[in-house]
Amino acid sequence: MKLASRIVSRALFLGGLNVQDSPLYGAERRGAPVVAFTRFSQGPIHERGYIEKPDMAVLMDPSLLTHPEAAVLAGLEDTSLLLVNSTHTEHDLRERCQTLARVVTLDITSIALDLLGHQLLSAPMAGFTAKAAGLARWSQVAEAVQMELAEVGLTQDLIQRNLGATQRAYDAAPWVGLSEPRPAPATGVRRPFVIPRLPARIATPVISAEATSLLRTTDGWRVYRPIIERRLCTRCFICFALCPEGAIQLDLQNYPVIDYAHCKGCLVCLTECPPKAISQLREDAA
Amino acid sequence: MTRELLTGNAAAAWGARLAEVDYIPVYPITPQTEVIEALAQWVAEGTLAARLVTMDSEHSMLTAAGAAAATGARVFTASSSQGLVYGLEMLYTIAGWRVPLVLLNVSRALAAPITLEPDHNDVLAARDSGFLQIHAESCQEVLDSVLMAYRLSEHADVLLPVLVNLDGFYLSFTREPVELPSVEEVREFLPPHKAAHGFSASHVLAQGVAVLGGTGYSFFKYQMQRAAEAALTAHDAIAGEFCRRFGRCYGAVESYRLDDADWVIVMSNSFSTVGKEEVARLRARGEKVGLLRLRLIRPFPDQEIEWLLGDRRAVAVIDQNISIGKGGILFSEVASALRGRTPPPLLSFIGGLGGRRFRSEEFDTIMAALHAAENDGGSVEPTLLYSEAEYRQMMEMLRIAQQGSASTPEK
Repeated sequence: MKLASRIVSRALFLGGLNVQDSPLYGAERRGAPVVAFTRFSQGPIHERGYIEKPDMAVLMDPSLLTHPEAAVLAGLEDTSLLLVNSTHTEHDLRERCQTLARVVTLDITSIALDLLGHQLLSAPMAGFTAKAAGLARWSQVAEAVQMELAEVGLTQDLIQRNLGATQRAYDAAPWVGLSEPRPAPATGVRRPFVIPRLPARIATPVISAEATSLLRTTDGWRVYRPIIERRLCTRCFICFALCPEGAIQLDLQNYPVIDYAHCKGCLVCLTECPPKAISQLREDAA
Repeated sequence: MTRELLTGNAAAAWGARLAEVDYIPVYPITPQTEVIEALAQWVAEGTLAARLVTMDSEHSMLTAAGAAAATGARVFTASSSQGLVYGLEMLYTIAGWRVPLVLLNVSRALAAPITLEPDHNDVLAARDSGFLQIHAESCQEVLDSVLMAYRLSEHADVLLPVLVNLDGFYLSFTREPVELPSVEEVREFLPPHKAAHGFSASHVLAQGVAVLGGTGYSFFKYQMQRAAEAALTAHDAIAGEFCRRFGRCYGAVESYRLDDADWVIVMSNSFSTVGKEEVARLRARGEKVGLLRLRLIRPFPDQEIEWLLGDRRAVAVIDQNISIGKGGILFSEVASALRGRTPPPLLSFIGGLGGRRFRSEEFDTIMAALHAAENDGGSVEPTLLYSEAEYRQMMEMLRIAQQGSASTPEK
């Protein structure tokens, strides 16, 4: 996401505009939700940080639509553009997520898997964005992809294949265009909220309830779902021992069972399984 | 001069590269790590002729930085947050050695609770150490401030280390267009450094000696105070020269729409950009309001601040830090600068802790408070910016943390 945002802003910068891009992320690694912002303007940019009311939102992982904490639709209005990496149609998606925004979908994951062999979405997603929002010509996008991917140290071969995937996304995307920027919303004086003093027993960063991490599901992180073929399983416990998330438990007969609410789809189990009893199935997009 | 898209971290690394530093002791910490990654790459590929050494902690890193600077090497190093306070002991020590060097701090709020986003309690913990401090608002200013910091630090009247601060995330990982001067242009502004003392094999020298009794100790501390006072004049001259050479001008403070302002909002660092936009919005509504950005925090430009704020109808200081049990640190500093005459009503607001975003309506609230303060003098206590919605969200999270949740996750 950060890289996609950077490619888009680089393309705009090459087109002579002022740009600013900034990602926000926590301590979690690959797969965790990340947000990145791109601003552009003919003149200087007098803003910074989080964009509360974007003119356009780009969603790489449609499973986040059902995560209330991700709030991917926050701040969008009927004139806003919502670009989604999805196998679903615009109509389906609008119905599903109850948004008024103008929705455009494109199956970027298939393009990436087809041309890059992995879920490397940044460059084709940037191509989709640049075309659908009418931000940059292909030559600028291509130059931006080359510059940004070289900067993160990709090989020329991988850069060229990314260019191919980006071009396919760019060509496949419809041109929709951005609406005129909306005027800033009216604000008003509010009486400052006075935060009360609470007893330290409550007002301390302490978790006393048990197993609250179970509440945090990570099923949306998966591209592929590992599936254990019980018939082939020798109950060697390797997958159980190696699962980095502790998402594999043993049932009463000592067969491994995957907790799909917390499996992140890293496929360590599939790679390590001695009798090859684990297969993979692509998760359906939202 | 070329125009590039750079993060604040990359701009800082470019500052060190263009200053042609000799020695870079490093220890990584989010959100500073990219700075040392960039420098390490340049050293490895030979585009930066410096010795880069990975250390075992920030404490060792700062010790090495000070020791190298004492030999006359030009030294750059960088840290953030927990790392800076871990090395705090050495900040006082090497400042006392009177060795010039530049320490970059990428602001990040201090634990506990641990977090990654910025506020200024980390850098302000180093406030009294003898390091001078420059706080930057933009990626361009990060680069320019590193170059100016070397001139200031190496100035014969100063010889104190300088800390350059930039906000984590809001600058460190944010890319903006940055004018990169050529190394030749920088050489003319920043000539090679000559050590004041300097070690050599044939010359015996003891540095950092012990003193017992207050006479010696006071003497050396007072000398540091005098040097910091001289740094104010030196900074003006350096900033003037930088402005002439590069066309970008940085004072000890920055005035934004202040000329005819009745009301002033005081801010620092990257959220000042947001503050300026809010001031422009309030101006469009007819409010004669301006913004004063604090840039040079040590030495603190008391006289200039008194001159700029003394005659206003009311002033609000927004601190992105909290001195627990007192309130905003910069509020106290600004208040002390306004002593000795009838100061305008002075209001204290705290916001932006742990990277919390400012809301537009909060500036409306500050504006209303400024109007009210002209008549009633305003509240003595700091206003802690927070919303009822945030409070409700916290109550829900605390409920889950302490009781768990009735709902079970999907299997």
